Amino acid sequence: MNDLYPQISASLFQTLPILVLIVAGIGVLVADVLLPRASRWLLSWLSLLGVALAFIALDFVVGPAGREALPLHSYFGVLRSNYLVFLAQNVILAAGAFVILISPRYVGERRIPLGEYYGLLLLAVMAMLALAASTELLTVFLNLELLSITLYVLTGIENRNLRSGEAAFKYFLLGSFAAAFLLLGIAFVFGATGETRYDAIRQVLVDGTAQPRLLAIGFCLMLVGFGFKLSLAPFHMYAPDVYEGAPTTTASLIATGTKVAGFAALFHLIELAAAWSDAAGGLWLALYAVALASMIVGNVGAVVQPNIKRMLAYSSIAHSGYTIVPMVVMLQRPDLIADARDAVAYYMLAYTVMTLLAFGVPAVLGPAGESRIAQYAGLHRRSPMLAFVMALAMVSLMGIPPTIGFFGKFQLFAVAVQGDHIWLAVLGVLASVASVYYYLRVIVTMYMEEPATAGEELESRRLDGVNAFALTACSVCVFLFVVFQSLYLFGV
Amino acid sequence: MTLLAVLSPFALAIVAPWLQRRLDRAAGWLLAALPAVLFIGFLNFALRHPAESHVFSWPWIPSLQIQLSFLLDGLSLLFALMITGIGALVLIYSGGYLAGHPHLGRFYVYLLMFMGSMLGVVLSNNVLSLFVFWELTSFSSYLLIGFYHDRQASRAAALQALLVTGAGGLALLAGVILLAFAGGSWELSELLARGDLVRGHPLLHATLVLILLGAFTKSAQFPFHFWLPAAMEAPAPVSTYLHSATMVKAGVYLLARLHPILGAAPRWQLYVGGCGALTMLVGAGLALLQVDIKRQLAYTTVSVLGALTFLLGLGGETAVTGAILYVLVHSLYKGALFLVGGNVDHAVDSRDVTRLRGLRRAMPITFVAALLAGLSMAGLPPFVGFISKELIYEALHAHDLSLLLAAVAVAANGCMFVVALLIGVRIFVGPPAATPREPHEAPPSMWLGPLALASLGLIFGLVPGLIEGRLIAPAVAAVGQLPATPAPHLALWHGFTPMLLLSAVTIAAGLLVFLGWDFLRARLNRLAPLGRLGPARWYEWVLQGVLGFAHLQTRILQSGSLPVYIATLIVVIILLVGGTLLEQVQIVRLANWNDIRFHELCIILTMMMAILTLVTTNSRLTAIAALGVVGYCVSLIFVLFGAPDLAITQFCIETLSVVLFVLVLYKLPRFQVFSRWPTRLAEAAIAVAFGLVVIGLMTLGMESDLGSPISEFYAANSYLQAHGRNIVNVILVDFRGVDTMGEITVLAIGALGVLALLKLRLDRDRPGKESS
Repeated sequence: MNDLYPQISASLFQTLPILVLIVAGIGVLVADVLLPRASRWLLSWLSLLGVALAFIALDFVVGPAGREALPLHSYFGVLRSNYLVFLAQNVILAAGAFVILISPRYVGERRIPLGEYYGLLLLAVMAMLALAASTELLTVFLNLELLSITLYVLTGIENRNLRSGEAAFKYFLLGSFAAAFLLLGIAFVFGATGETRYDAIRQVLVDGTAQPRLLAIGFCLMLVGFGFKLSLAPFHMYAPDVYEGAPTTTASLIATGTKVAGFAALFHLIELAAAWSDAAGGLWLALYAVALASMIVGNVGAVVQPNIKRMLAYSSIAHSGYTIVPMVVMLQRPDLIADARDAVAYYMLAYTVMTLLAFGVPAVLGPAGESRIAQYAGLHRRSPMLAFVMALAMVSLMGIPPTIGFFGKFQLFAVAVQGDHIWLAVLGVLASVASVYYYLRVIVTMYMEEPATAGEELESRRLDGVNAFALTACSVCVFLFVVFQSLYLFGV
Repeated sequence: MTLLAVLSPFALAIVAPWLQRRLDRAAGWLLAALPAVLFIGFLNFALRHPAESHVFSWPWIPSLQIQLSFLLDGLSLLFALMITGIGALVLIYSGGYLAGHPHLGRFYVYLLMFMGSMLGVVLSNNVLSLFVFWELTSFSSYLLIGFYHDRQASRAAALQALLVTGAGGLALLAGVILLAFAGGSWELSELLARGDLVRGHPLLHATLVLILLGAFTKSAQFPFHFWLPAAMEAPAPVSTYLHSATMVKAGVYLLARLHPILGAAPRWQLYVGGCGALTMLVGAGLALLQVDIKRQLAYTTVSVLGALTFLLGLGGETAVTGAILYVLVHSLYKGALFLVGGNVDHAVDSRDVTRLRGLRRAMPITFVAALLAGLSMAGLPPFVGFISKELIYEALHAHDLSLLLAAVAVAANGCMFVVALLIGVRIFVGPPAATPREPHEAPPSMWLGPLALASLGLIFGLVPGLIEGRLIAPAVAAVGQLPATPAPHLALWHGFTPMLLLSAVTIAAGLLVFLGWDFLRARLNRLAPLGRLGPARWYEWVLQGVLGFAHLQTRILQSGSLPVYIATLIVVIILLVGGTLLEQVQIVRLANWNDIRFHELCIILTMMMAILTLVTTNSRLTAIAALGVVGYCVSLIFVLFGAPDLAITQFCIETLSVVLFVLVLYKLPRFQVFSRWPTRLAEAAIAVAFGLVVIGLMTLGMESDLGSPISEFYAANSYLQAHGRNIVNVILVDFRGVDTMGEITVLAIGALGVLALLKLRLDRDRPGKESS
């Protein structure tokens, strides 16, 4: 047994960021009990510190996994670190920090219990980090469930609000349903290959000793589980209700961090499936249909939403659809996996930056800014900075150059074109034409319309320094990673 | 210098509102200094390096091997000169036209942003950055059209223009990506040399169509022309700058730029030439029906864009020269006329041609500008408009084309002649008519632009040599990939040629129509209802269709009802998994019926009856009890198949959950069936289908050989590793010790829940608790 200790200690080192977050999460919960009520505001700073430490651990202690180097394994291949995982974890931590920064006032106004909120937030971020790195079937399931359960609670945490409760209930019921299918799928994949570790499964697939019938069903069922988590059509139905009902800060985390982790995990799964020669058939068709349905349903659905959060929910469905386009391609063209990975990685970053901005503004505006888009009329006169930030987010989400949204989308569709999936690219581009309409409506409302009645107006709020910092930093990123295309690799 | 030229307008845009606040009236003049300097710079370059092409590049996205590079040759120089030159005049003009407008500062921002983007379009050497700037022009055009944002029409027109050109732009993106892949480079300068590679590519046709869609929407070709007249909601300087002189010519620029690559493609002539000819005729015809100055000018612009496209579609040196010259000539006279229209509107608050008369007395300078520009537009000598019209006829003649095309060209030019006289002459002569406001001459900032542009039309007409060698020939050379020899002889007089005859016919026909215009328009207006079938209506249909579909999908998919969500999820899974299962149906063989023993059958039948009771009962308690029966039957099955530990766990869990259910549901109102029988029937069908899928999955799992059963491992290792003889015990406390602990924990938590609920009820039932 002694020979295991070096490996375990190396693994502990590899997963330092995750451990830091676990300690921080529990620390916040304990501090909540110990601190006197008057100084509970410290909790937000404490959790920010936790995320910052995890960030330092990730980037400077563990350091980036080489882009081309062999992937690092920890815990006997259960977790993996590579360039995609490293990037995803950075993005998740940044999203977590952003959400913590915009939370204090929001949480205070809603009288959400601070200890539970921040503690669960940290644990959710931790689960995301772990999910992004998971390369073993059961670990994937466990991390997905850990993430889901924390998010169910975070969704329903505003227990005075009936909508929050309804959202949590729907999320929980449908989520458990999807998780059951994921588990069934895992069972089938295990049955077909006799392995749960991705690298071992890959070997079985390459050798051709897997049972194809079970494998096809297993992958399809797993797709259901992931499709739910990534709110891909037709598993998207919960998303608008949940985004609308959940506290906006929680919704912003669900829309960004969860998806980034899910994309990384799904990418690993699809990468695995691509090693299987039969994957180009049925599974490819299923994934193709899901990508197409998501792009169409998301973009078309968003057009008629009067509520800003519902609109953003549909928009995020569409963006999930765009993001899996390279994965569809690489199922048929394993030679393009490296390109697909680059495109997915960049888009995860782009999507997170612009979605955080788009959710950050309603969160900062508070109760009045979370419902109807019409209430944004004339915002540019009352809060020029918020209006500008929101407009920037919309322009970037539209994919209008020279914002990060355009370059992200461009790389996704470039992979599709490269892989001879021209129709998918064309349909995706057409679907995003519809998106111009609803994103632009927000800009038009903010800049060109006047509030219909005096009551419609959003009260003008002063930005506090922390919110302003978070939004500014995020806005800068909209252009920063365009100008320095390789900066997001941190020099890797 | 090129990078600086493209970026400096953006930089200036940032400080423009501040300048406007500080300097007020003078701001327009000062801002115009930048494009003026750029104009001189480009002119200097054109004079020094005629007919050379230069590429300047900077690294941009190394991971995609994309560089930010600019191409400066005859074609881009001509456009850059127009953009900066007219841009300077328009900035000056805007200062006067919008003087006192509260958002003038913002207007400058948009205009400068547009200027930078437009320069980017014509100077880009990289097809990707070309696209980026292309979309930026669409976007700034949107902002400029919607500048009077308190008007509904203005907002609708802005959105329409953006959707049409933006959608075209995305088609262009797909097109240029295909082009770049086919040619193996993102650089125009390299692609131009690899035309054969592109033309040999199997996706040539798709590339061509996508790129043409981009160019046609931008340049308002039929059937996408409708956004341009609608865009006349914009302030006059915008109409001048974007919608006649520069932006709408971006499509023409693109066609010209890609002419060496795609010009020899099989369907180029058909698509480009055909579409251009149709647009030329439709635009000119519709122009005659309008009474609003700006709309007349807009429709003639559509016609001219059609003519330009037509000439590029035709190909050949004469046609290309005609197109290039026409681009310049049209920008000069149409820019001037739009500004004249703005002056008239500004002075008398009306743009109705039928009501305006005799403005020459009050607005002499504007009249001179209008007259000069109008005569150039009418194609009369000695204006440059005449030379360019002659060239068009010559191109037709050179191609030996049919009488039909000649007739189209003559008709279009005739209409142009009519509109030119209407705006250039008719509204200024005769006795003054009553107008909403008393006419007055425009301030210098507002007559400088039109006068300068219109005079250039006369000067270039008299001395064509000024532009022939230095501007036109290099541009033609760039388009035709020819050596830059000053080939076609621009001159007013070529002797008695067929072209002269056609010109004479044009003028005669135009004069006739001009004199009878009022009569003719009244007759033609009876056909106006036909316009409701036009492309503008198609656009509305598409828009309404998308909205309708969105509402429909929200109603159906996003009902907010949890049962519907779950049903959808299950249906998808049935389709996803059932489809895969069906392929293998021949392999799935049900287990041997003889293996089923009697007591097993009893358990199954009990379960089925319990389930039937569960779904049909009206009482909550009965439903819970039935659910409990199902659970106990499952644990019996575990017992029968040798898993006593599982059976015990299941048994405990069932008991607990039944108790929990009873306690929780006890307080709820009476059970009611909300759904009606069609819904229930559908739900039953889904349930049955799902059951079948699960049965399929189970049998498939049983059929498959899953390697050695795990019991062998335990049999071999129980004693050796765990020192226990009872395998079940060993599994429970050793091999799966953590599992067991988890199960105990779950049970304990469940029991705690029961306790909490019981205690809650006890507390509530205890009298006096509430009051204390």
